[in-house]
Amino acid sequence: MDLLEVSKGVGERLAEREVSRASYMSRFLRKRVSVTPYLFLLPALVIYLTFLVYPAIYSLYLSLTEWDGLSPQKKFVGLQNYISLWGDPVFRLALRNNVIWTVVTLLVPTIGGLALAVALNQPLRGRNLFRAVFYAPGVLPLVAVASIWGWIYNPNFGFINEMLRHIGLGSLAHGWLADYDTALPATLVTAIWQGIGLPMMFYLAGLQVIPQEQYEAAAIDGANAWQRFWHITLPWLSQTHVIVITLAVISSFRVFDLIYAMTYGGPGQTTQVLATWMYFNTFQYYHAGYGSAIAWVIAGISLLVTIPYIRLMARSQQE
Amino acid sequence: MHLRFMTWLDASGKALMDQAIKEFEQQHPNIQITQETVAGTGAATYPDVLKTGMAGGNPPDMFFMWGGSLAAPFIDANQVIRMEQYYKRYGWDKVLIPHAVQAIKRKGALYGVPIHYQGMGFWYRKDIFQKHGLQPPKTYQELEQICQKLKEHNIAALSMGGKYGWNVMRLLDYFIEMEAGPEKHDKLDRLEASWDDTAVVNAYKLLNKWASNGWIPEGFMAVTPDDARIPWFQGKAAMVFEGGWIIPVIKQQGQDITKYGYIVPPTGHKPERISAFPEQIMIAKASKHPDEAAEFINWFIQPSIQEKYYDISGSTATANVKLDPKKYPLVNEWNQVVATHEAYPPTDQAFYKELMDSYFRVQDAIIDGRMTPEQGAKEMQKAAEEWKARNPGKCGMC
Repeated sequence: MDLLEVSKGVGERLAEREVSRASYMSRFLRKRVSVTPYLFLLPALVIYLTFLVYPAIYSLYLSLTEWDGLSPQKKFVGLQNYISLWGDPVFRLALRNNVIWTVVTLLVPTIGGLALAVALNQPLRGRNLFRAVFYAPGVLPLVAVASIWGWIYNPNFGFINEMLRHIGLGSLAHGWLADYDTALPATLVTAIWQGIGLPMMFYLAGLQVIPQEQYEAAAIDGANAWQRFWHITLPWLSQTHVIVITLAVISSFRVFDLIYAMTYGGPGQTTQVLATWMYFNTFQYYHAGYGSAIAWVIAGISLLVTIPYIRLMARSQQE
Repeated sequence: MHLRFMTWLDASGKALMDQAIKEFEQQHPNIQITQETVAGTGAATYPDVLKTGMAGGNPPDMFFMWGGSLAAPFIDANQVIRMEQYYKRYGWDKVLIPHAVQAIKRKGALYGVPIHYQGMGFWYRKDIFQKHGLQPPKTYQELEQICQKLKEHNIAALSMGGKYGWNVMRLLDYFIEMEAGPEKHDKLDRLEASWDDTAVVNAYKLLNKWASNGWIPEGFMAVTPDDARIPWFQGKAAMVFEGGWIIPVIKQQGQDITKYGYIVPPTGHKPERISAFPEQIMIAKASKHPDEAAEFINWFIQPSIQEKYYDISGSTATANVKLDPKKYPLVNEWNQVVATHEAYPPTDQAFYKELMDSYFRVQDAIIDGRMTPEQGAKEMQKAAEEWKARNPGKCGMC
């Protein structure tokens, strides 16, 4: 090997090393750049971990203990609280009430909201006023809603009983929230009144993206109003259905305010739902461990619904 | 230094208490007190709010509390201080009504200072009674006759609010006292006697009778206790079952106090007992300033201060409080009734809340007719046995 070849070989190696160094620097810089979004996420992440993840994990731990919520000592009892749930008749009643609540608040406000949205999507006079009127109850605090309806249902001077007496149906007037048979349906009516506005707004938004040409073409082809609704409107709203239905299921398993403020779980325990039963156990009966177990049952059911929803939304965003 | 003071006072009571605090602060410039109030639901939510503060390590320095089972969880969880040293330092035994002090003791120890001793009975509209030629009853039979006569004139005898349960409980407690008698009633409260008993069955029968005869306004089970006073003030109901705190309420409603009177619920037993309970101020163990809190309590329970701020709650546990009979018609008389009658506790101060909700559940079912009185008594005994098995050694009235 002569000197020229040697120097050429060294030069090539140096050049390779330089390229390799430049490539490393580039990768390094890219890595540095890729850290930046995480730094921006950090404050939110810290808040999320502190105020959501940590309390959630702590409450999971509490659900495995027997604790009065006040004493320094907590007794570890494993899964006993979860086992006890199934022998608790009020828990079973509350679960049943939640299922009823879910079915009713899923069907009625969703179908009603869709009907209102379709109606208010037409060029009606004063439709913005109607939209505001139907949406307004949805922005009121639930306790205020409960208070308003508590007065409407008041057995002595409430609007419903007064109206029934006025039109000669006084025999139907009774204590709507005090009656075992009407207490839950009466609170459901309030929930529907309060909850119909949100799906209506979602559906109104969904209706805006449907191309008018499709309706015009279908009309030319002789499709009637029902056929246009069934074959054009409904399929176009499929994403909206997912959002509306998922939110309805999640909120129905979290229902607390209306029941607490309107019936306090009564009469007897007739209107107990999981969230109120959790509250009673944790705060009133000094069974914080048992109450936490109920909280995790609620969380588990909500997660079962939420995870497919989040996955669907993520897939839809990618598409 | 700064003290936090939690109460359950409503707007007018809070305003008066703030006035009292201001006066105290002027005399004690080194102490500042902030009152935090949780008003409106009685014992239904106040203890929850307090408990949340304690569990979070941030309780108020001092706070209002009832007696019996409502105070017991805070004592048993070691969250309040013992007060004997302050009783000795300030000589509170000489200032306070002895049976009020006795009523707040738990297992012989003092964890609070009584500020009110509330007795309850029927409060009636004299104008309605006079209009229908009725006299306050001396026996239970006379009381029923009054109820029936008022019903014939389309007036409900007794307005009650069944929401939260405790308002209706007062009537049921009265029936149990009447049917069981003092000795057995106390045993029932301590779960030393079976609730599956003829006396309890009879009490449930009476409760159902009052509801189904329309002696209580229709639909009362969904009405809040505060709203239940409305038909009474409107003249649609003749009586309410309340304590002496109703006197300032009558005045605040702009009503003519001379139109109102009280009836000691006739039980037919000797001693004829009334339902009564203490209310106290406790000091949190986590307080950094217990001495200053005790200083405020000492100032507040003195007779001259109690006389001046009597309207805060319409009751006092301080002895020798002299109120102007012109300004406080009825009050001195009622206080005399409370002071001279032996008492039984309202059941919600004898039972822990969990067992109490079983009591309310049976009470609601009896009124609704979903449970017969016999079934109710059996159900209540079953609930008591289950509660005792789950909570060995726990006792509300110890």
